[in-house]
Amino acid sequence: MQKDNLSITLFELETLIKPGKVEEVLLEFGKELLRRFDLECFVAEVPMLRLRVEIPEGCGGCSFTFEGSAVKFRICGDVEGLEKPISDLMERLDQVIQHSVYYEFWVNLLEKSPDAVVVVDEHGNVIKCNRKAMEIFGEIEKLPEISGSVWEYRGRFYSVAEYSLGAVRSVILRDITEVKELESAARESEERFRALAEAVPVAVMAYHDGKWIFVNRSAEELTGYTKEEILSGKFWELFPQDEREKISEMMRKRLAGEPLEPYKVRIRRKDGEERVVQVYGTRVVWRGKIGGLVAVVDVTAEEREKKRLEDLTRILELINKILRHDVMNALASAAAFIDIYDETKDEAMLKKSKEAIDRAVMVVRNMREFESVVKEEGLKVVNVREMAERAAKGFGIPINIEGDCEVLADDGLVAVFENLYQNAVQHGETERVDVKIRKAGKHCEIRVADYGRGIPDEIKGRVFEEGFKYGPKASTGFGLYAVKRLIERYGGEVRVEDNEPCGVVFVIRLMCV
Amino acid sequence: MRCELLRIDEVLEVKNSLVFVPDAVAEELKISKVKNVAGAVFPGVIFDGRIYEDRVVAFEFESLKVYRGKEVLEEKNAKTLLTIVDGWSEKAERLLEEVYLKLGNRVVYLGGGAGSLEKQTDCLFIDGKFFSGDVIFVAIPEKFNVAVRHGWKSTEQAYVATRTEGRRIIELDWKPAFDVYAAALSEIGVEISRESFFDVAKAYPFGMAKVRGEDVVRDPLMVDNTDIICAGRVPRNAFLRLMEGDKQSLIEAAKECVETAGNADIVFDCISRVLYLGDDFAREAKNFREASGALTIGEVACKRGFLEFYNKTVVVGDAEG
Repeated sequence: MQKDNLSITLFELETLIKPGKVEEVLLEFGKELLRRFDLECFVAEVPMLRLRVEIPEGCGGCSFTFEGSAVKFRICGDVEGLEKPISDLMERLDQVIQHSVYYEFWVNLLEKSPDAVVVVDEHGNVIKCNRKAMEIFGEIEKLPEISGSVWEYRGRFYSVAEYSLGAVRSVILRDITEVKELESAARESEERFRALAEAVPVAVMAYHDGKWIFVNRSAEELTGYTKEEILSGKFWELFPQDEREKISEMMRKRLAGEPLEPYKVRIRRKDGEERVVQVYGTRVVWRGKIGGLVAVVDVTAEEREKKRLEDLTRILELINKILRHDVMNALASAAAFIDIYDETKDEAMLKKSKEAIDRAVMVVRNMREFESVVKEEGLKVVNVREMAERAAKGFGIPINIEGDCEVLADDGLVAVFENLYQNAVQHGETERVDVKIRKAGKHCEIRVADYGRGIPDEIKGRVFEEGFKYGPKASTGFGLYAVKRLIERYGGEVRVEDNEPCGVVFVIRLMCV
Repeated sequence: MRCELLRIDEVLEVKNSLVFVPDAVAEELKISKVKNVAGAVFPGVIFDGRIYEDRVVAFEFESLKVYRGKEVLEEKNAKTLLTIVDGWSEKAERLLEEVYLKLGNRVVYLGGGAGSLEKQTDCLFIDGKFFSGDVIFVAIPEKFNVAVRHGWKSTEQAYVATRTEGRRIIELDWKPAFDVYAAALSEIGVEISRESFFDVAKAYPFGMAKVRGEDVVRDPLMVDNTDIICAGRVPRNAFLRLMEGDKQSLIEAAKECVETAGNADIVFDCISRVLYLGDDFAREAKNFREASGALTIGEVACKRGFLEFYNKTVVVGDAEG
């Protein structure tokens, strides 16, 4: 073997190791290897391509193997003394094949890409186009001027990406026409929805992930917040603390697609007022995200009316009961005493009969107070002192009234004072009553104090209950109940305390005008 | 396999034969519309160590199994394929390689390139039909020993075939091939022109290096503008040595070739060797005293290793047993 022949042959074979079609490169290399080294056969396998090149076909057992990262080689024939140079050649061929495989893979990927890929030089002259680019542009020498991240060309829209390597620039265009059309359709659909939502007289709101993402004008009116405030504000601020758990559960159910009937909940307006609303809703996909779309109807007035009607029903039932029971009892007693008088001519029976009739009259008079409780008229500004003074007539004990204040109430406030005076005289057997009226911040505090027997601690908590009676002089059991209901109608509160040194104090708090 | 030397009119009487026809009488054969034989037209034929240009060499078989081109891939029993190629056709050379890639060394290949030095002609025929640009194979059940030698010697001058297309050398050392070749010959005192190209170049072929065995010779047959066209393919970046002839070494090579094969039943000897050796070819031919064959345009031989299309070479075959 001549050394220069080996060098020359290695040089010639080296020139065959070049990127290209893998099968052709292996075939040409294999043929020349066999020819120049007088070998018998050559096998190259490229597992990743499932490719096998065998020269000639039907190659038998081989004496020399070389396993590269991409190619496995086998050679038959006398390679004694040539193992190293042949291995070096194969190592290099393996590297080039590996490169070619990946190159071919990427080239095919780019060629078959649904995106248009155009490679241009620094002057915009087209160097290479893939199939999609050919579809769009046809045979072109220069790429049209492209500006912006979205480019319109011949009625279609393309998103634009670029990659530069030195003076060579790749422009990648993705046809987003259909996406744009869908976006446009979605936008029109959303605009129609917004128009409809703004036209309806109920609050329409959409939420996602703990945020409001849409509210209409009616929602502004309902909540007292502007749209911007609602959309940028915190979701939970619209709900009182004790409603949040309920809301959270309802939202979970709605987003999970569980059946959910319309429900009522209280909301808190920007001015602090609470309103009762009925929530109707559904699950929607809003800009690609699952959220809730709800119509919120203010049912505060209806709820109040419902409660008033319930109260009225209850009071009518109460009146009916009193009339049937207490008045009938009193009148029956009076009749019995008269019958006894007719037989005995005992004057005491007449007196007892009169007392029974008086009790019946008292019961009927108390019924008038309940009228105020269920009145539908609105409240008005009244002078508390005047009300207290009007009620003070005819009790036969001193009733001292101090202070003055104006509150939102009605004539029912007179009945409140009459009941408290009556209670002090009848049950407390007091010898005087002191009424003190004063402003306490935004409130008007009214203290009605007697100096009688007082109320035992164990029943203090029950004196305002409907029909509660205590002691031998107990009457209908509705006097203090009426007081409480009237004060609540005025938006105030009433409680009872011990007086010093004896008796009780009824403390009323109403909002000042 | 029995071999006879026949007149052209006698060919009509033979059957199951492969006939080698000298170019000089090929037209007569075409006119005679010979049937039942296959064969080829060569610049000359060899019978018992002598060249004939007016007689036909006929190899008679008990049963002639002849294939055209890739039809031979169906052959399962042959141990040797007598392989006759259109010597001027690069396509036929590629076809030959394709057949080898399928059949490999399951068979011995032995043969040469047919054709005329004077004109383009349909040089192959089967059953009276002439054609070109192809290969014919004759299946022989016996195995042949084959040997290949040329005897050409390398000079100190060598070039890289930096640009080629098949058999065409376009550039040597990045310059027009003819200019480089002419300058190389000029350095050794030989002048060559486009007109004298064939006559001069027959003595100065190219050799492609092999690590084992003789260099493969490429015969520069003609010049086309500045391209040199050889009688076989030249790979791009092939390292080509300029070779020169020495009559004695060529004749010695022929002798060695016969000795290597054991004997010579059949011989294919390149026509350019005849042209180069002139009257001295008779000395080379003495080595083939018991052999018959043809003067060829390129030679084919392969018992093991890669099938090669040789130029300016002697190929002999000796039937085993």
